[in-house]
Amino acid sequence: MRDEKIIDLYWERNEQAIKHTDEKYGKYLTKIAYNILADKEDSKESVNDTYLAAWNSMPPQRPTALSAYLGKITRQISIDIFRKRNRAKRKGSEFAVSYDELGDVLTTGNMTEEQVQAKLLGEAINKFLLEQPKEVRNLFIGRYYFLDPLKEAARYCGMSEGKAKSVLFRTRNMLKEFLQKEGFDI
Amino acid sequence: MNAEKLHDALNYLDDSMILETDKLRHRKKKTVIFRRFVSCAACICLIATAVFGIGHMRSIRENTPFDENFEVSKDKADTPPTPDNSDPSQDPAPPAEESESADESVPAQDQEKDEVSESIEESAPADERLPEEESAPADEWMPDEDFPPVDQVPPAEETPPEEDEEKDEEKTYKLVIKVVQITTDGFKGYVRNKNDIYDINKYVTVINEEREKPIKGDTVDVYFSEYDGYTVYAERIFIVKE
Repeated sequence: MRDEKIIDLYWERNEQAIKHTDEKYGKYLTKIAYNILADKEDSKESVNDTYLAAWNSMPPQRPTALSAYLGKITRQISIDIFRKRNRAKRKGSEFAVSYDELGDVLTTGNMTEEQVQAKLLGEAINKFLLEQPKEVRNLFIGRYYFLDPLKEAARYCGMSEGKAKSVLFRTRNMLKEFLQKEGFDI
Repeated sequence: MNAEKLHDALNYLDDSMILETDKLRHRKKKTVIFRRFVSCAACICLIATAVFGIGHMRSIRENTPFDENFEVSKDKADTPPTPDNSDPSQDPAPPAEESESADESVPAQDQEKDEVSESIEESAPADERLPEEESAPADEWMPDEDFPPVDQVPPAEETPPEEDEEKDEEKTYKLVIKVVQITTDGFKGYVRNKNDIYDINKYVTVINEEREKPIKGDTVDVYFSEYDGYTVYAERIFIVKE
Protein backbone atom coordinates (compact mmCIF):
# COMPACT_ATOMS: atom_id res chain seq x y z
CA MET A 1 0.00 0.00 0.00
CA ARG A 2 1.21 3.49 -0.81
CA ASP A 3 2.20 5.90 1.91
CA GLU A 4 -0.57 8.32 1.01
CA LYS A 5 -3.20 5.64 1.50
CA ILE A 6 -1.75 4.65 4.86
CA ILE A 7 -1.74 8.29 5.99
CA ASP A 8 -5.32 8.59 4.81
CA LEU A 9 -6.21 5.62 6.98
CA TYR A 10 -4.62 7.35 9.96
CA TRP A 11 -6.62 10.42 9.22
CA GLU A 12 -9.76 8.35 8.92
CA ARG A 13 -8.90 6.83 12.31
CA ASN A 14 -8.92 3.42 10.73
CA GLU A 15 -7.00 0.83 12.73
CA GLN A 16 -5.96 -0.86 9.52
CA ALA A 17 -3.42 1.97 9.25
CA ILE A 18 -1.30 0.41 11.98
CA LYS A 19 -1.54 -3.03 10.37
CA HIS A 20 -0.40 -1.69 7.02
CA THR A 21 2.32 0.38 8.65
CA ASP A 22 3.61 -2.70 10.38
CA GLU A 23 3.52 -4.70 7.16
CA LYS A 24 5.41 -2.06 5.24
CA TYR A 25 7.77 -0.56 7.79
CA GLY A 26 7.87 -3.06 10.63
CA LYS A 27 11.29 -4.46 9.76
CA TYR A 28 12.71 -1.07 8.93
CA LEU A 29 11.68 0.38 12.27
CA THR A 30 12.76 -2.69 14.19
CA LYS A 31 16.20 -2.40 12.66
CA ILE A 32 16.53 1.22 13.74
CA ALA A 33 15.38 0.34 17.24
CA TYR A 34 17.64 -2.69 17.46
CA ASN A 35 20.68 -0.65 16.37
CA ILE A 36 20.11 1.55 19.42
CA LEU A 37 18.89 -0.93 21.98
CA ALA A 38 20.50 -4.20 20.90
CA ASP A 39 17.59 -6.05 22.42
CA LYS A 40 14.69 -7.68 20.60
CA GLU A 41 12.08 -7.18 23.28
CA ASP A 42 12.98 -3.55 23.80
CA SER A 43 13.01 -3.04 20.04
CA LYS A 44 9.50 -4.48 19.72
CA GLU A 45 8.33 -2.25 22.53
CA SER A 46 9.91 0.73 20.82
CA VAL A 47 8.24 -0.06 17.50
CA ASN A 48 4.85 -0.52 19.18
CA ASP A 49 5.29 2.82 20.90
CA THR A 50 6.08 4.27 17.49
CA TYR A 51 2.75 3.05 16.11
CA LEU A 52 0.98 4.59 19.07
CA ALA A 53 2.82 7.88 18.62
CA ALA A 54 2.00 7.85 14.91
CA TRP A 55 -1.65 7.15 15.71
CA ASN A 56 -1.71 10.08 18.13
CA SER A 57 0.14 12.47 15.85
CA MET A 58 -1.83 11.85 12.65
CA PRO A 59 -3.87 13.96 12.46
CA PRO A 60 -2.84 16.75 12.69
CA GLN A 61 0.50 15.72 11.16
CA ARG A 62 0.59 14.74 7.50
CA PRO A 63 4.18 13.68 6.76
CA THR A 64 5.51 13.89 3.23
CA ALA A 65 7.83 10.92 3.79
CA LEU A 66 6.19 8.39 6.08
CA SER A 67 9.27 6.21 6.47
CA ALA A 68 11.45 9.11 7.61
CA TYR A 69 8.70 10.33 9.90
CA LEU A 70 8.22 6.96 11.55
CA GLY A 71 11.97 6.40 11.67
CA LYS A 72 12.50 9.61 13.60
CA ILE A 73 9.81 8.65 16.10
CA THR A 74 11.30 5.17 16.57
CA ARG A 75 14.77 6.61 16.93
CA GLN A 76 13.72 9.09 19.59
CA ILE A 77 11.68 6.52 21.51
CA SER A 78 14.55 4.03 21.36
CA ILE A 79 17.03 6.62 22.61
CA ASP A 80 14.66 7.43 25.48
CA ILE A 81 14.36 3.72 26.35
CA PHE A 82 18.13 3.42 26.19
CA ARG A 83 18.56 6.31 28.61
CA LYS A 84 15.98 4.90 30.99
CA ARG A 85 17.65 1.53 30.91
CA ASN A 86 21.04 3.03 31.68
CA ARG A 87 19.53 5.04 34.50
CA ALA A 88 18.09 1.86 35.96
CA LYS A 89 21.51 0.26 35.89
CA ARG A 90 22.94 3.08 37.97
CA LYS A 91 20.33 2.68 40.69
CA GLY A 92 22.79 1.01 43.01
CA SER A 93 24.89 4.13 43.27
CA GLU A 94 23.73 6.89 45.58
CA PHE A 95 25.71 9.35 43.54
CA ALA A 96 23.76 8.35 40.42
CA VAL A 97 20.47 8.78 42.27
CA SER A 98 21.41 12.23 43.50
CA TYR A 99 22.71 13.12 40.05
CA ASP A 100 19.37 12.19 38.50
CA GLU A 101 17.45 14.10 41.17
CA LEU A 102 19.52 17.24 40.67
CA GLY A 103 19.30 16.82 36.94
CA ASP A 104 15.53 16.77 37.15
CA VAL A 105 15.64 20.04 39.08
CA LEU A 106 17.90 21.65 36.53
CA THR A 107 15.95 20.56 33.51
CA THR A 108 12.53 21.41 34.90
CA GLY A 109 10.96 24.10 32.82
CA ASN A 110 13.75 24.07 30.24
CA MET A 111 12.33 21.40 27.92
CA THR A 112 11.15 23.88 25.32
CA GLU A 113 14.46 25.61 25.33
CA GLU A 114 16.25 22.30 24.94
CA GLN A 115 14.04 21.36 22.05
CA VAL A 116 14.69 24.67 20.38
CA GLN A 117 18.40 24.20 20.90
CA ALA A 118 18.23 20.72 19.49
CA LYS A 119 16.34 22.01 16.48
CA LEU A 120 18.89 24.75 15.91
CA LEU A 121 21.68 22.27 16.26
CA GLY A 122 19.90 19.94 13.86
CA GLU A 123 19.59 22.70 11.29
CA ALA A 124 23.29 23.48 11.66
CA ILE A 125 24.16 19.82 11.12
CA ASN A 126 21.86 19.81 8.10
CA LYS A 127 23.71 22.76 6.68
CA PHE A 128 27.06 21.15 7.34
CA LEU A 129 26.07 17.85 5.77
CA LEU A 130 24.69 19.52 2.66
CA GLU A 131 28.14 20.96 2.06
CA GLN A 132 29.78 17.55 2.26
CA PRO A 133 30.20 15.14 -0.64
CA LYS A 134 27.38 12.69 -1.11
CA GLU A 135 29.53 9.77 -0.08
CA VAL A 136 30.57 11.40 3.19
CA ARG A 137 27.04 12.53 3.92
CA ASN A 138 25.60 9.06 3.42
CA LEU A 139 28.26 7.53 5.59
CA PHE A 140 27.70 10.05 8.37
CA ILE A 141 23.93 9.62 8.34
CA GLY A 142 24.20 5.86 8.10
CA ARG A 143 26.54 5.71 11.03
CA TYR A 144 25.08 8.36 13.34
CA TYR A 145 21.43 8.56 12.37
CA PHE A 146 20.63 4.97 11.47
CA LEU A 147 23.37 3.83 13.86
CA ASP A 148 24.46 1.10 11.50
CA PRO A 149 27.68 -0.74 12.35
CA LEU A 150 30.74 0.82 10.78
CA LYS A 151 31.37 -2.21 8.61
CA GLU A 152 27.88 -2.19 7.20
CA ALA A 153 27.87 1.56 6.61
CA ALA A 154 31.21 1.32 4.83
CA ARG A 155 29.89 -1.50 2.66
CA TYR A 156 26.84 0.29 1.37
CA CYS A 157 28.84 3.47 0.87
CA GLY A 158 31.27 1.52 -1.26
CA MET A 159 34.42 1.95 0.79
CA SER A 160 36.62 -0.08 3.06
CA GLU A 161 36.13 -0.11 6.80
CA GLY A 162 39.43 1.63 7.38
CA LYS A 163 38.64 4.38 4.93
CA ALA A 164 35.17 4.83 6.46
CA LYS A 165 36.76 5.17 9.87
CA SER A 166 39.14 7.89 8.73
CA VAL A 167 36.40 9.69 6.77
CA LEU A 168 34.18 9.75 9.85
CA PHE A 169 37.05 11.00 12.00
CA ARG A 170 37.74 13.88 9.62
CA THR A 171 34.04 14.65 9.31
CA ARG A 172 33.57 14.80 13.08
CA ASN A 173 36.48 17.23 13.38
CA MET A 174 35.10 19.36 10.59
CA LEU A 175 31.66 19.33 12.23
CA LYS A 176 33.19 20.44 15.50
CA GLU A 177 34.90 23.37 13.80
CA PHE A 178 31.75 24.19 11.92
CA LEU A 179 29.59 24.23 15.04
CA GLN A 180 32.12 26.39 16.87
CA LYS A 181 32.00 28.86 14.01
CA GLU A 182 28.22 28.78 14.19
CA GLY A 183 28.40 29.79 17.85
CA PHE A 184 27.52 26.54 19.57
CA ASP A 185 29.11 25.73 22.88
CA ILE A 186 31.22 22.66 22.30
CA MET B 1 26.76 20.12 24.83
CA ASN B 2 27.21 16.39 24.85
CA ALA B 3 26.67 13.42 22.58
CA GLU B 4 23.08 13.03 23.75
CA LYS B 5 22.20 16.47 22.48
CA LEU B 6 23.87 15.74 19.19
CA HIS B 7 21.84 12.57 18.85
CA ASP B 8 18.68 14.48 19.65
CA ALA B 9 19.63 17.08 17.08
CA LEU B 10 20.07 14.41 14.43
CA ASN B 11 16.32 13.82 14.64
CA TYR B 12 15.91 17.18 12.93
CA LEU B 13 17.80 16.14 9.82
CA ASP B 14 16.11 16.72 6.49
CA ASP B 15 13.91 13.88 5.33
CA SER B 16 15.44 14.06 1.88
CA MET B 17 18.92 13.27 3.21
CA ILE B 18 17.60 10.45 5.36
CA LEU B 19 15.66 8.95 2.49
CA GLU B 20 18.69 9.21 0.22
CA THR B 21 20.85 7.26 2.65
CA ASP B 22 18.09 4.77 3.36
CA LYS B 23 17.70 4.10 -0.35
CA LEU B 24 21.41 3.45 -0.57
CA ARG B 25 21.26 1.01 2.33
CA HIS B 26 18.57 -1.08 0.71
CA ARG B 27 19.89 -0.90 -2.83
CA LYS B 28 23.38 -1.98 -1.90
CA LYS B 29 22.10 -4.90 0.08
CA LYS B 30 20.25 -6.25 -2.91
CA THR B 31 23.32 -5.88 -5.08
CA VAL B 32 25.41 -7.87 -2.65
CA ILE B 33 22.81 -10.61 -2.49
CA PHE B 34 22.73 -10.75 -6.27
CA ARG B 35 26.52 -10.92 -6.44
CA ARG B 36 26.58 -13.69 -3.90
CA PHE B 37 23.98 -15.59 -5.87
CA VAL B 38 25.93 -15.17 -9.09
CA SER B 39 29.21 -16.22 -7.50
CA CYS B 40 27.55 -19.25 -5.90
CA ALA B 41 25.97 -20.22 -9.21
CA ALA B 42 29.31 -19.82 -10.96
CA CYS B 43 31.03 -22.02 -8.38
CA ILE B 44 28.35 -24.69 -8.71
CA CYS B 45 28.66 -24.63 -12.50
CA LEU B 46 32.43 -24.92 -12.24
CA ILE B 47 32.25 -27.85 -9.86
CA ALA B 48 29.59 -29.58 -11.96
CA THR B 49 31.68 -29.12 -15.09
CA ALA B 50 34.77 -30.46 -13.36
CA VAL B 51 32.91 -33.48 -11.99
CA PHE B 52 31.29 -34.20 -15.33
CA GLY B 53 34.59 -33.80 -17.13
CA ILE B 54 36.44 -36.13 -14.80
CA GLY B 55 33.64 -38.68 -15.01
CA HIS B 56 33.63 -38.45 -18.77
CA MET B 57 37.38 -38.89 -18.97
CA ARG B 58 37.22 -41.87 -16.65
CA SER B 59 34.49 -43.48 -18.67
CA ILE B 60 36.58 -43.01 -21.80
CA ARG B 61 39.56 -44.56 -20.07
CA GLU B 62 37.53 -47.45 -18.78
CA ASN B 63 35.98 -48.11 -22.15
CA THR B 64 39.36 -48.12 -23.80
CA PRO B 65 40.68 -51.67 -24.05
CA PHE B 66 44.29 -51.63 -23.14
CA ASP B 67 45.40 -54.91 -21.81
CA GLU B 68 42.66 -56.94 -23.29
CA ASN B 69 42.64 -57.87 -26.86
CA PHE B 70 40.33 -56.81 -29.51
CA GLU B 71 36.64 -56.53 -29.60
CA VAL B 72 34.96 -56.56 -32.89
CA SER B 73 31.90 -54.55 -33.53
CA LYS B 74 30.14 -53.55 -36.63
CA ASP B 75 28.55 -50.69 -34.80
CA LYS B 76 31.78 -48.83 -34.77
CA ALA B 77 31.71 -48.68 -38.49
CA ASP B 78 29.35 -45.76 -38.11
CA THR B 79 31.93 -43.66 -36.39
CA PRO B 80 35.34 -44.63 -37.54
CA PRO B 81 37.93 -42.13 -36.41
CA THR B 82 39.38 -41.53 -39.77
CA PRO B 83 42.15 -39.07 -40.47
CA ASP B 84 40.99 -35.76 -41.79
CA ASN B 85 43.75 -33.54 -43.00
CA SER B 86 46.76 -35.57 -43.71
CA ASP B 87 47.57 -37.44 -46.80
CA PRO B 88 48.86 -40.81 -45.78
CA SER B 89 50.08 -41.60 -49.22
CA GLN B 90 52.70 -38.90 -48.91
CA ASP B 91 54.24 -40.46 -45.89
CA PRO B 92 57.01 -42.83 -46.51
CA ALA B 93 55.86 -46.26 -45.53
CA PRO B 94 58.33 -48.85 -44.48
CA PRO B 95 57.81 -52.42 -45.37
CA ALA B 96 56.53 -54.76 -42.80
CA GLU B 97 58.87 -54.79 -39.93
CA GLU B 98 58.27 -58.33 -39.02
CA SER B 99 56.31 -60.06 -41.58
CA GLU B 100 56.27 -63.24 -39.65
CA SER B 101 54.77 -61.67 -36.65
CA ALA B 102 52.47 -59.69 -38.86
CA ASP B 103 51.23 -62.77 -40.52
CA GLU B 104 50.63 -64.33 -37.21
CA SER B 105 48.88 -61.31 -35.96
CA VAL B 106 46.21 -61.48 -38.59
CA PRO B 107 44.34 -64.55 -37.70
CA ALA B 108 41.19 -62.87 -38.76
CA GLN B 109 41.82 -63.83 -42.31
CA ASP B 110 40.40 -67.24 -41.77
CA GLN B 111 37.80 -66.40 -39.25
CA GLU B 112 34.46 -64.78 -39.30
CA LYS B 113 34.51 -61.02 -39.49
CA ASP B 114 32.93 -60.31 -36.12
CA GLU B 115 34.95 -62.72 -34.12
CA VAL B 116 38.44 -62.01 -35.18
CA SER B 117 40.60 -60.10 -32.80
CA GLU B 118 44.20 -60.06 -32.02
CA SER B 119 46.88 -57.88 -30.64
CA ILE B 120 50.07 -57.06 -32.32
CA GLU B 121 51.79 -57.34 -29.06
CA GLU B 122 50.84 -60.92 -28.89
CA SER B 123 51.98 -61.44 -32.40
CA ALA B 124 55.35 -59.95 -31.72
CA PRO B 125 58.15 -62.05 -30.38
CA ALA B 126 58.35 -62.30 -26.65
CA ASP B 127 61.49 -60.22 -26.42
CA GLU B 128 59.82 -57.42 -28.33
CA ARG B 129 56.77 -57.31 -26.13
CA LEU B 130 58.39 -55.23 -23.51
CA PRO B 131 56.22 -54.04 -20.72
CA GLU B 132 56.06 -50.32 -20.24
CA GLU B 133 58.09 -50.37 -17.07
CA GLU B 134 60.72 -52.67 -18.45
CA SER B 135 61.25 -50.85 -21.68
CA ALA B 136 64.68 -49.74 -22.73
CA PRO B 137 65.86 -46.26 -21.82
CA ALA B 138 64.55 -43.39 -23.84
CA ASP B 139 66.36 -42.51 -27.00
CA GLU B 140 65.72 -40.14 -29.79
CA TRP B 141 63.79 -41.24 -32.79
CA MET B 142 65.74 -42.00 -35.90
CA PRO B 143 63.52 -41.73 -38.95
CA ASP B 144 64.09 -44.28 -41.60
CA GLU B 145 64.34 -42.49 -44.88
CA ASP B 146 64.35 -45.66 -46.87
CA PHE B 147 60.73 -46.37 -46.26
CA PRO B 148 58.81 -46.33 -49.49
CA PRO B 149 55.53 -44.49 -49.86
CA VAL B 150 52.47 -46.24 -48.64
CA ASP B 151 51.17 -46.95 -52.09
CA GLN B 152 54.32 -48.80 -52.91
CA VAL B 153 54.38 -50.85 -49.81
CA PRO B 154 53.72 -54.42 -50.66
CA PRO B 155 51.33 -56.33 -48.46
CA ALA B 156 52.98 -57.70 -45.45
CA GLU B 157 51.96 -61.21 -46.34
CA GLU B 158 53.85 -60.99 -49.58
CA THR B 159 56.96 -59.59 -48.02
CA PRO B 160 59.65 -62.17 -47.90
CA PRO B 161 60.75 -62.86 -44.35
CA GLU B 162 64.36 -62.30 -45.34
CA GLU B 163 63.72 -58.64 -46.22
CA ASP B 164 61.92 -58.10 -42.97
CA GLU B 165 64.77 -59.47 -41.04
CA GLU B 166 67.17 -57.18 -42.84
CA LYS B 167 65.02 -54.18 -42.11
CA ASP B 168 64.68 -55.24 -38.54
CA GLU B 169 68.37 -54.97 -38.26
CA GLU B 170 68.39 -51.53 -39.79
CA LYS B 171 65.68 -50.22 -37.55
CA THR B 172 66.47 -48.81 -34.24
CA TYR B 173 62.92 -48.29 -33.07
CA LYS B 174 59.59 -49.73 -33.71
CA LEU B 175 56.05 -49.19 -32.66
CA VAL B 176 54.29 -51.96 -30.87
CA ILE B 177 50.56 -51.82 -31.07
CA LYS B 178 49.27 -52.66 -27.68
CA VAL B 179 45.64 -53.14 -28.45
CA VAL B 180 44.15 -53.71 -31.84
CA GLN B 181 40.75 -54.56 -33.07
CA ILE B 182 40.36 -56.26 -36.33
CA THR B 183 37.51 -57.99 -37.99
CA THR B 184 38.58 -59.03 -41.39
CA ASP B 185 41.35 -60.81 -43.05
CA GLY B 186 43.87 -58.08 -42.95
CA PHE B 187 43.40 -54.43 -42.39
CA LYS B 188 44.65 -51.12 -43.33
CA GLY B 189 44.65 -48.12 -41.12
CA TYR B 190 46.43 -45.17 -39.73
CA VAL B 191 48.64 -44.40 -36.86
CA ARG B 192 48.22 -40.97 -35.48
CA ASN B 193 50.14 -39.01 -32.97
CA LYS B 194 49.43 -35.47 -31.91
CA ASN B 195 50.39 -33.90 -35.21
CA ASP B 196 50.42 -36.44 -37.98
CA ILE B 197 48.62 -39.46 -39.28
CA TYR B 198 50.52 -42.37 -40.75
CA ASP B 199 49.53 -45.34 -42.76
CA ILE B 200 50.06 -48.70 -41.29
CA ASN B 201 49.84 -52.03 -42.97
CA LYS B 202 49.93 -55.35 -41.30
CA TYR B 203 51.01 -54.01 -37.96
CA VAL B 204 53.88 -52.19 -39.47
CA THR B 205 53.85 -48.62 -38.51
CA VAL B 206 55.32 -46.07 -40.80
CA ILE B 207 56.74 -42.99 -39.30
CA ASN B 208 56.99 -39.87 -41.35
CA GLU B 209 60.28 -38.03 -41.43
CA GLU B 210 58.52 -34.93 -40.31
CA ARG B 211 57.12 -36.67 -37.30
CA GLU B 212 58.18 -35.57 -33.90
CA LYS B 213 60.79 -37.80 -32.46
CA PRO B 214 59.17 -40.28 -30.17
CA ILE B 215 60.90 -41.66 -27.18
CA LYS B 216 60.41 -44.79 -25.23
CA GLY B 217 57.20 -44.88 -23.36
CA ASP B 218 55.34 -42.57 -25.72
CA THR B 219 51.74 -43.44 -26.21
CA VAL B 220 50.32 -42.88 -29.64
CA ASP B 221 46.69 -43.25 -30.54
CA VAL B 222 46.05 -45.53 -33.44
CA TYR B 223 43.05 -45.34 -35.71
CA PHE B 224 42.15 -47.62 -38.54
CA SER B 225 39.94 -46.77 -41.38
CA GLU B 226 37.12 -48.83 -42.64
CA TYR B 227 38.29 -51.87 -44.47
CA ASP B 228 36.00 -54.04 -46.54
CA GLY B 229 33.01 -52.70 -44.72
CA TYR B 230 34.34 -53.34 -41.24
CA THR B 231 35.75 -50.91 -38.82
CA VAL B 232 39.13 -51.78 -37.55
CA TYR B 233 40.93 -49.68 -35.08
CA ALA B 234 43.44 -49.79 -32.34
CA GLU B 235 43.54 -47.64 -29.30
CA ARG B 236 47.14 -47.33 -28.30
CA ILE B 237 50.59 -48.17 -29.31
CA PHE B 238 53.74 -47.95 -27.32
CA ILE B 239 57.08 -46.97 -28.63
CA VAL B 240 59.86 -49.18 -27.47
CA LYS B 241 63.43 -49.57 -28.38
CA GLU B 242 64.40 -52.81 -29.91
